[in-house]
Amino acid sequence: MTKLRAGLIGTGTIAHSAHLPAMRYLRHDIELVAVADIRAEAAEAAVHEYGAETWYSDYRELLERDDIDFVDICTPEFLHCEQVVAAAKAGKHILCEKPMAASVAEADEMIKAARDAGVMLMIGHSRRFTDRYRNTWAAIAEGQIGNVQLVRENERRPVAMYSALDLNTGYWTPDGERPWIADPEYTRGAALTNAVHEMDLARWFAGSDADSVQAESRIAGENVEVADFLSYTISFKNGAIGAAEIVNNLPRAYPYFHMLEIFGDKGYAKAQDPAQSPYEIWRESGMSFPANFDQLLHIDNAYIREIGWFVRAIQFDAPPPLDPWDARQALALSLAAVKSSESGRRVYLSEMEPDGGAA
Amino acid sequence: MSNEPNLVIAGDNDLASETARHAISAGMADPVYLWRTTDDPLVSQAPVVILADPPERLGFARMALDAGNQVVSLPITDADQQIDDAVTAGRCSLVSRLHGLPTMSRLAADCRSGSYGRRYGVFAAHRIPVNFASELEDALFNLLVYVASLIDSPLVRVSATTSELGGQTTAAWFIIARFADDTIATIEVTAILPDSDQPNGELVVEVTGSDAVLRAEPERQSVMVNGSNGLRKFPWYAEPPEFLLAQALTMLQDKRVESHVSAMRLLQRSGDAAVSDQAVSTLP
Ligand SMILES: NC(=O)c1ccc[n+]([C@@H]2O[C@H](COP(=O)([O-])OP(=O)(O)OC[C@H]3O[C@@H](n4cnc5c(N)ncnc54)[C@H](O)[C@@H]3O)[C@@H](O)[C@H]2O)c1
Repeated sequence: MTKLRAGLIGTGTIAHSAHLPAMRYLRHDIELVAVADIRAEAAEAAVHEYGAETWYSDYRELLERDDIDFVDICTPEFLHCEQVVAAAKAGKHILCEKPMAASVAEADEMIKAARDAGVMLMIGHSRRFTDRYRNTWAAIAEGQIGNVQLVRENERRPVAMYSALDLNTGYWTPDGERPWIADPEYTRGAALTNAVHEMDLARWFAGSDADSVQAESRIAGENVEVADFLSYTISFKNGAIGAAEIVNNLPRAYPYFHMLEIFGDKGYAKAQDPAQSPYEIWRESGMSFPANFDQLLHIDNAYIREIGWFVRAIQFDAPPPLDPWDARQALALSLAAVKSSESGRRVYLSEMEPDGGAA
Repeated sequence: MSNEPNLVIAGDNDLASETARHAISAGMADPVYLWRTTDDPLVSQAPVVILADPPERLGFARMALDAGNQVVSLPITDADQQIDDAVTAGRCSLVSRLHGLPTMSRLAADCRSGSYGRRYGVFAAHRIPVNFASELEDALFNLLVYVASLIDSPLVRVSATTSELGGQTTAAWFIIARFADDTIATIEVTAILPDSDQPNGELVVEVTGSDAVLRAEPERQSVMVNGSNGLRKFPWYAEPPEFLLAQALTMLQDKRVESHVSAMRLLQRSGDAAVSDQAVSTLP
């Protein structure tokens, strides 16, 4: 099988922590040709560490190369539409990070651009590619818990989420100070940062599109100007409920907390991180979880699978392992939750359609 | 010593009589008048703690308030102007059965001392087995009152989604409540566990804040038996009346009117929100 030649746009946190390492692992299938980033140091680090031939500060130069088969877009969501449409016009297959875009209209434009250009488009909802979630979904699909009635997913993170302290590049700070992820000019907060994952999973597990959502949100921490707290209840068309409480700005020592509970009419599936750690140590300074052997949220091979299956689909001219329509629907749900929390009323998904639900 | 009771416990059930017995033997109040039914006279000016079954609570409360007594009651859900006025005036407060669980009483005390810094939110879920669905409302009301007791801020808005979960009657409540200080409470009560699960079900309450996250899950300390009767958990506590009574006595002294008004509004307006299928504003 011939290797596919790749370009990566946006060499920030998720690129360095997940996409570039996965591409290196998949080196027998992928050759990383070039990267692009407006931050020279982040792009140079990618060339240096992951062996790309060259880097550009303008992604359009990368797209002009005719020796690139696909691009992997790892920039913030407000850039996704522009960059995906440009990549499609340049004839490149496209893997693009979640959330799909900043609006449903943009998501539709991206799907249309890819279709018109005859290229593959996939949105990287990485959690669909982890063992834990795939096994859970398989158990549901096999009928082990019966018809799904409730998907409860609570997700909480420490304050470090907004500083990317542990990673070599740090978040992009457009104004030189505040990361884009905390800035209302660039994003919509928890709904798009992580709730969109939970909503995508809830749709997947419930096996239904959403009818409506009720939500409340707030700014809890002092380091952000976007909602870092979101609570929502989704009513799915098939009668199932999806509910979550997402809190992203907790004390520094708080662990990545994740609770997944799926109740069906014949049983349930549950998982929780890290309270059910197989190994816990208590010290004077508090509790630690040195070995959470299989964290629910741990990405391990998710990106290898995500990128690997995407590449296989291109190689075999098969449909993408994840239809961009699913990402579009998860985005619509996230934006509906934002709208509900801002307006204080139930929001129907039909209202999120670019034509106002007239269709 | 006079024989005038210094506490009245209202109700004709095990909880009321055990609590009265405990109040005396633990020296928390003595003498205690056990006021069994509203047909009996209320012979004392002492504070009244109403532990009666749900349909009887309103009658006890009205009689006690008419007589000028201070009242603490398990959840009263009837819309009633007299109760409304009394709660707003600090003459009547609501206590939850959950305050009787040692873990939950400790969490409530830690919340009162503000040990979490700036409060962000409260998540509270109580799941019970499907065949206990008839107890869903009682579980809901107790959880609402308990959650409100953790938050000393006026309720601003509440939304509720209910579901039959595939059955005939309401088997699930999902409530999101917003308070004036921006605390967001996420409350879920569902009759969703397999029938083999234990009747008490599972309870978890988490409070998130700038300095700490508190998490209470009382059932974690229990002996689990998975046998021919299905899964049975025997918690390490026996719901001692001590904690419920201690909470009631605290409420009589330390009047957090704001949180009692919120508790009452949550009880009243969650139903409205569910019926209208829309968020309901609760400010006057
Ligand atoms: N799948 C997941 O679980 C997951 C996890 C984290 C982030 N993400 C998503 O990945 C995306 C990026 O997030 P991040 O955390 O890596 O942010 P980041 O700020 O660390 O990285 C973004 C990068 O894009 C670069 N950039 C900005 N404008 C550019 C432009 N015009 N052209 C080229 N590069 C540009 C920035 O310099 C920065 O290096 C977001 O959409 C985010 O939601 C997904």
